[in-house]
Amino acid sequence: MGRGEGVNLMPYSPALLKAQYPILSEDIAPGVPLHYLDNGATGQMPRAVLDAVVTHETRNRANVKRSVHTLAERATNAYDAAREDVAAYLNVSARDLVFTAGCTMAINLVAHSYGSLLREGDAIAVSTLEHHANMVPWQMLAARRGLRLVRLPATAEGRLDMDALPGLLDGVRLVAITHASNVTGAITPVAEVAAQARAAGAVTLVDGAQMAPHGPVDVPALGCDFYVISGHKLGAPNGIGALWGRRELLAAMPPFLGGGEMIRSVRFESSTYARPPQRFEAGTPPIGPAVGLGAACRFHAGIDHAAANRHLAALTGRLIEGLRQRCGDRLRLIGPGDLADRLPLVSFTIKGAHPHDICQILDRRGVALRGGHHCAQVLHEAYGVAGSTRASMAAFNDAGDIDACLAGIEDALRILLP
Amino acid sequence: MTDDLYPRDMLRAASDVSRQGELPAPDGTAALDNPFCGDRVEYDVTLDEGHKIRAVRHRVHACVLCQASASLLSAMAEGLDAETIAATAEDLLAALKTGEAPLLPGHPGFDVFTSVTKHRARFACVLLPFETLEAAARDAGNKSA
Repeated sequence: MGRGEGVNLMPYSPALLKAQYPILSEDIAPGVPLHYLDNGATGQMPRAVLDAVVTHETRNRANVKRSVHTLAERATNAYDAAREDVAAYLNVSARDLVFTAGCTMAINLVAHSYGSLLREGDAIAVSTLEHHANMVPWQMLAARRGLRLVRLPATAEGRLDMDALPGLLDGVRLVAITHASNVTGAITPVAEVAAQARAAGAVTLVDGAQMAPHGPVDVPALGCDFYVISGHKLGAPNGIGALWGRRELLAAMPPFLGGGEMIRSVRFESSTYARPPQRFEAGTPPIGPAVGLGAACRFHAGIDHAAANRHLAALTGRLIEGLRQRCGDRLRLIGPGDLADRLPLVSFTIKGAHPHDICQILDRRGVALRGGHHCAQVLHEAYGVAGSTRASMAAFNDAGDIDACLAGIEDALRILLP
Repeated sequence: MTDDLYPRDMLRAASDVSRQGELPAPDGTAALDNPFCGDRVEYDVTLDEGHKIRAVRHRVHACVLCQASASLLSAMAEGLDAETIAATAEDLLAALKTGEAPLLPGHPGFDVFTSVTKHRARFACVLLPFETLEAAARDAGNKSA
């Protein structure tokens, strides 16, 4: 199932959607509603996910794939069903989907396991747009294994520089890119990158943390070899994520962590290992969070994201235009100035006003933004700034959220730049 | 929720910067970043024979809280050694948790930070100049050893 195919979508309405998030129904302070625009950092949890987790923990809680009593059967079924739900959201087979502790752990898994198959002198190409989670593990691998780290540059608009790509892939065995930047919001033409990488003899790992909350992802259509997602960005509990890997690659990869669940047989001197995905799931898995992630994927699969994304593009335009009107020459967008091929996410600086101070002042109006380098220090250095202020939207956001944000910007300008 | 985090005295302390710039021949230097936002504080120091700071200059690329803290700290830094700076930072951290003035007895300027007590994530902004100045003093001490 890809892009909601075969799913009965609920009619899209930000108001109806907002009502499904308990945290959005209460004022953040007396008389101050919450305007949550920090979805890029963590997605809020809808009632459906809360209910799934509570039901699991109160009615089905047990370890999986060990005992045969009723609760254990329920837990095992719930865990397996969650894997099916996540796989369906990515249009992949559950056999090739590994539950991890999150995106960071998924990338570290590939860096350690697939990375162990690379040879000294091989190169890994990493874009400057990457979150630290998709940069630091490759730096560590390069240092550990004597690999070259190749920088894939970004354009001035914060998009992957596709013109530079062909000349940089010589000797590269793995390309690590984001599906959509958590700072600029730019969506990467992954299929084009993966095709070029494959032609050069490299595999491609895609960080889908920011992209996945904006609708089901047709991973096979991307042509990549690894795809990772983060549960908490989708509104699932913390401590869960997933790695999809091409079957033949997973089959050839050694385990990352050792312990229970991931073995076939253990003797004192050595062990043999289970097939993927269990080979990469050492120890008792995060069962409840996995159930939550499955529920989150079902919830998102039921949203008419095509309609939501049209609405969010309009809100993105409203925000950019509002910032331009209020900040004038002091405004600098850290990302594209247009609405094409981007997430509903806007990062910016205001000359003379620090991002943390801006965020703190907007908090007075219940507007939740993020300030800082957003775990993308290399990208910010390329822009010549230490940090930026970021508003990142979800399908439940509405014009009231944007207008509250812009009113808060007026406050910040008045206080910080009198 | 945020309220009165930016009193006029805080904004004044941040903009009325003392001992900004570089020392021509520092005994020690340090530059530290706030790992959460990338803000940077740099200190140059010279020490006297007793390893106490004789002169200090700083560069700050940071938020209002960090700028104000660096300005206030720089104004009181002469005569301090690394251990005293570290102990003062510990005292300030403890005081920030309670928010009760005086935050640093004998240094009423730091009372502008009483409003920070409700914002745990911002403590690092106030303390980064202390960590950096201590590191600069230790760097100078190590070089003279």
